[in-house]
Amino acid sequence: MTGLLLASIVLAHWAPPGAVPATPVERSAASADGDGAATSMGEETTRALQIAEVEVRGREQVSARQIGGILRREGLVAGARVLWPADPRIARARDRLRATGYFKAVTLGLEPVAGRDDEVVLVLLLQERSSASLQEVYLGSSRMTPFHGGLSVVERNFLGRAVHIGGALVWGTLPTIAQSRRQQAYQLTAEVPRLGTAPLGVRGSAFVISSAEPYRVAGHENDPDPSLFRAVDIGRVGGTVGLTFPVLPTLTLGVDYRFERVDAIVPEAPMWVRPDGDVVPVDVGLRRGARRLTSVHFGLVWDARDDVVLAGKGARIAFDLQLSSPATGSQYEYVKLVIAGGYSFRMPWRHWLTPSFTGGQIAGRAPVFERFYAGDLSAWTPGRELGIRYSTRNPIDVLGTGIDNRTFGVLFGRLDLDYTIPLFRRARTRGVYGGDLFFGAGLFTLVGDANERRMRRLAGQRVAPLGFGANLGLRIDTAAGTFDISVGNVLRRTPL
Amino acid sequence: MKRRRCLAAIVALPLVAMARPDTLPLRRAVFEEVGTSVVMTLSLPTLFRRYDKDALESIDSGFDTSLHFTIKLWQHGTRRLVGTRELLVRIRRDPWKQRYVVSARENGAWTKRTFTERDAAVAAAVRLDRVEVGSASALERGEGGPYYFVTVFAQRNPLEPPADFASSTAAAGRDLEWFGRLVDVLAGERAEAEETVQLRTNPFYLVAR
Repeated sequence: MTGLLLASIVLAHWAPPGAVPATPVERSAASADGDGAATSMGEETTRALQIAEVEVRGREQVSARQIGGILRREGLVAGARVLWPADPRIARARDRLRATGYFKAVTLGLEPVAGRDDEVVLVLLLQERSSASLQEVYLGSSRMTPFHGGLSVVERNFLGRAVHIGGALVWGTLPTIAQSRRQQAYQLTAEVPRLGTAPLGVRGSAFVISSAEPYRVAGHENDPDPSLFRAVDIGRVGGTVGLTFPVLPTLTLGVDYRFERVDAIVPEAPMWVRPDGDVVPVDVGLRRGARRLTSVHFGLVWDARDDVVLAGKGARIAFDLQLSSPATGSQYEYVKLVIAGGYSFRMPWRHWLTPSFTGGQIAGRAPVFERFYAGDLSAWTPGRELGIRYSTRNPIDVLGTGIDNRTFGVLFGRLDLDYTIPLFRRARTRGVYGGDLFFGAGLFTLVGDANERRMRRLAGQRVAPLGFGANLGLRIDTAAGTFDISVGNVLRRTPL
Repeated sequence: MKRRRCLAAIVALPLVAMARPDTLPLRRAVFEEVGTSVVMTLSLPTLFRRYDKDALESIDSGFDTSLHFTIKLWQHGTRRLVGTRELLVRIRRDPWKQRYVVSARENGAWTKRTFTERDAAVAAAVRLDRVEVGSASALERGEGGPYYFVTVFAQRNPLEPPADFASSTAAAGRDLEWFGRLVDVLAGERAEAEETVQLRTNPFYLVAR
């Protein structure tokens, strides 16, 4: 103990390198007059100035409504007063705008109005952040495909002109189903949300998909063993062109035309040998040979959410109607309707609750890749990725209703309830912008066509079995995109 | 990469906990004894980087850009904190007079300087010119020591989290708050100000009388 004390005294009195004496000087006089001359003063005087106008510069794609909402929340609107040279609302508005994660730089400034000493123009200078982001990471393993991987990226401000350019690809190893091909898909998308000042946008896409759509030839309906399946090889090449109409800041209408060539190698008479020995024909949902598939899409999206990435108040409703018939030049005939909606609101204790619903129906004979797929509805089951199925697994039957016997359907419904806890938000960081913890639970159902419904009734099975799904995870918003680290994500990507 | 960073953070945690002020980057300062005070002159040009367009636009906006300096005087070789001082500097462009104004508050008193050139105003704002770091009477004299040094923690426009943010509320619960902080720490980068500079000066001693 004494040694330690001695050592610290010696260390404290050891002349450290670079030690200099503090030079004793006489008290100096004040600086001379002129540029940079110092003058003493009391507390700085503050002036109240009237905002004649609020001018936003540098806005490319972030909605004016969202920016205006933040400024309004701080009372920074035309006609209001702002304190100069410092107003705490200015710093708050700047931090709130930065916290949205949309901007690389935010500056709130003022410009005097000529001839008026008490009026100013409040200028908001924005520099939107580089908007290249990772939309999706396709990565997983299943008993059918030992490995598949890929990604989807989009740049939402291409050349600084608010043009959206995107690309996606997914590639998988050879499926373990006999005589099937390697599955892969490539897609390019482009969109100009607004042509000049006109309320009109254009968009288009092109894709190439090579898939091996599995169909059951033996075993129970819920047995995912790939040896019980065969595959239909499908080659698809096509694209879409469309127009969008941003009618209101929150409402967008869209019309698209899709055209593609579907080349399917369909077996002569596909059959399923049931475990009880019955042999039933299988509808693979495809027409043999190279066929034309064209369709017209009508879409409507009403999005009034405050924050599209992490938790934010507001509602979103989407509606999509797809018509494919000889009138559109197609060799497939069907109508497909999908409606989705949700509303997020903040609880008194500042967590977020989001009830949402999705539903859809198909009338006619839609190709198999357009039918509703059970894997797309369940949080725990692999869904289709760029239109490709990499797994033969059906949903887990938690409620014992027989949902694990369903793969495709023409009618579905889904209700979800998400509970979100904001964990952190960061302003002015270059990497991570925020994180939420989320819990979700939901019910869904998938119903087959009239023929299947009749068969189910005869067999004493439920026509519309209920499935249950739940999820728990972290949602991290980063400069590279938004990532979910969740239980569902793990289960979907694991070869169960 | 993330796993490596996580491991590095775990390994670095005890080291960070034991961090000493004399491990900060060194910057040479001039110390003088004026009357009963010890004053320091030091420049921190990295608070406004020459090509930081955002920072320069903030000055030209007409509103104040704030620089907060926390100045701590330490006894060298020990962890004895002799004293702490706060200094607030504001810089802005007056859009009516078209001049740059640098005002500073030290010991409750404000001083103001005006400049025609932005570069000169910025240089003045980031220069701690004869700033009092402590009272000479609180320090021991003599060439043989003890020696003292100063640490400076400077922030440009320090950020304050929004008051209505969920994690700042008691209703979130202690466990959740702890979890939120853990995720925040594991996520890495954390901004507390638009720019932060932290350094220590060379040691000095008071001449014996």
